[in-house]
This record gives sequence, structure tokens and C-alpha cells, in this order.
Amino acid sequence: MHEFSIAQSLIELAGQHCPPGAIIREVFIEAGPMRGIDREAMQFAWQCATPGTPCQNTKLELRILPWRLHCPACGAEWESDDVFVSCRCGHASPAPAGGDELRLTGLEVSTPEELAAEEAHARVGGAERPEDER
Amino acid sequence: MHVSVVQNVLKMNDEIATMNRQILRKAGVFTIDLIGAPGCGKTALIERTLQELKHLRIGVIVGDLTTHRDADRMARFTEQVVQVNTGKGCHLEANHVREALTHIDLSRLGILIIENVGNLICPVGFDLGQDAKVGMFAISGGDDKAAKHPYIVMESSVLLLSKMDLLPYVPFDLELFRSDIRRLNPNVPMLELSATTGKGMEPWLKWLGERVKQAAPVA
Repeated sequence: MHEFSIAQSLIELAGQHCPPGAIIREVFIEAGPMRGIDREAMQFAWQCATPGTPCQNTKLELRILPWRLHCPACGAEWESDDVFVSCRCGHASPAPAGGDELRLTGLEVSTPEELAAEEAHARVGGAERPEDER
Repeated sequence: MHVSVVQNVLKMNDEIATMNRQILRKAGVFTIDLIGAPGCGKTALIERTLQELKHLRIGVIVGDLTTHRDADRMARFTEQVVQVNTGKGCHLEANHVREALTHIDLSRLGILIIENVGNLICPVGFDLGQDAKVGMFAISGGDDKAAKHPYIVMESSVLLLSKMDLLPYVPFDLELFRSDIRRLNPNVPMLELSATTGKGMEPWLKWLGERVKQAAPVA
């Protein structure tokens, strides 16, 4: 259920980073494995929290980061989806590092210029079509 | 158009938490955020701690979805108790603590214990302004709970395993539990205790007492 709080904070943050007059289309976030974010719960929270906000009808793109492991015996470092794994050297207890990231990484927006261009394109397209039919 | 951003999602919460931390540190109050599953014995531990460490002047903020029962239990041992009801919220956030602090006389406290909503997942990611997170597990919860909840194990300054008096009656692989914790957080102090019998409480009380000495008021 922490997904709902995260969604609410994210909506606010996305609104702050959206250029004036633009419309948000997609929101990109990254979460470390320690955050315990459930993909389905996050999408559900997004659907519930966004109506009536600048993030209404947007897509949420969630990237869940892997664990970063460090072997205290041989010094190897690698990424893994599972935290309880052994190192290639045989050491049974590699140490996890980091993993608590939770950040907004980007927005896909339509700027006022892009919106005007889309609208003009739709108008031209709409005017041409009857001619094509003739 | 793509807008690149790199920003902590919980920035607002973290900013309020930083303000809480400044207020608490200035008052010389050592603050812990006690996090554990429902029924792991958080309230019982606090009750016993309040009884044993009366001289350290402990206040409590207790978070629950609903009811005033925990605050009533603890009000028998300290005057400085605030119950926060989160409604549907599964964890406390920094603004809950900020609001609760307005009902507490910090000048009369040495320690503030924040009992978070019973939950091993959600509360861990929300900074409240505490000095230390204390993660709590119980024998009755099963020996796999540390492995299944790495975030709290890795974020805690000290970990407690409670209800040790139940060990003879419950299947619980203590060695497995300990090794899971060692793997996730090799240096964290691990204290095994029973708030009911009082056995094992001493190292916990000592740990708290030592922290209070470090948190002397800022001149």
C-alpha cells in the first residue's frame, strides 16, 4: 500500500517538472529492490491517484533496479535479481549495496507547440479527406 | 518532448523529516522509529522499556490505523503520549510526526519512541526524522521474516527478536534467522529478548541508555 503514497508524491513532483502549458503523457521512475514496490500495485495506485491531476491519463513506466552485490572474499561486483546468491568464487555471503533508490527519471510531455502542430495536422487531414473521397 | 529529471520521489516527506530531525536534535532528544509486523510485541516492549527506564524521560508517538488503545496502554507509564490514527495509511509519514510533536513537551524528554504502524514493508522507506530505525521480529512470526524483508534488516541500527520465551514451543530455526541477518547487515547489533519475562531486556536498555548520552542538547 505504500505505492499509493508514492503515487501521490510522484504526481506532485511530475507537475513541478512539467514545462508550462505542456501536457504530461508518460512518467518514468526507477525503484531499487529494497523499496519492495509491487508492479501491479503501483499501476493500480497510479490509476486511482491520477484522475483530476496533471497526471490524468498518463502512462507510468516503472523500472525496478536489480540488487548490486559485492563479494568480500574476491572483490567481485555484479547485479542480480536475487539477493541470496553465492559468488562465483564460492563465497556464500556476498553483501548487497544500495538498492533503496526511488526517483523520478523523466517525463514525456506534449509542449504547446507540439499540441498546436498536432491540432493543425488533424485539421488539414480532416479537410483533405473529403477531397480524396471525391 | 522528453524532460529528463533525477529527483527523489519522496522529496517532500524527506524535507519535513529533516525539519523534525533538527527540532528533536536541538532539544537533545534521541528518537527511534520502531518498525515491526502487527503482533510482534512493539507495544509490550515499549511498556516494559517505559517501566525500566523511567529516569530517562521517554515520550511515545504511536501510529495505528485506528483506536486509542496503544496510547491508553502507554499512558500508564508516561505523560507524553500521542496517538496518531492514519485511517487507511499503512505507515507514518514525516508530517504525522511533525503534527504529533506539537502535542509533546520536548524539554521534558530524553528519548522519543515512535511506534510505527504494524508493517514490515511500507514504513521503512519513509524518513520521519528519527536518529535510528529499530526493526523488530518475533519468534511467533517465523524464522523467514528477516530474509523476506531485507529493507528493514538493512536499514536498522539495531534489530530485535522478541518473544524469546516462546522459542521452546514454536518451530523457529534461530541459526538460520541469524545468518540471514548477518548476510544482509553484517554489523547490526541483534538483540534477543522477551518483554513478557524481561529476559534479554538488559542489552536493549543499555543500548538505548548509551544513545541518550550521545544526544545531549545542542547549546
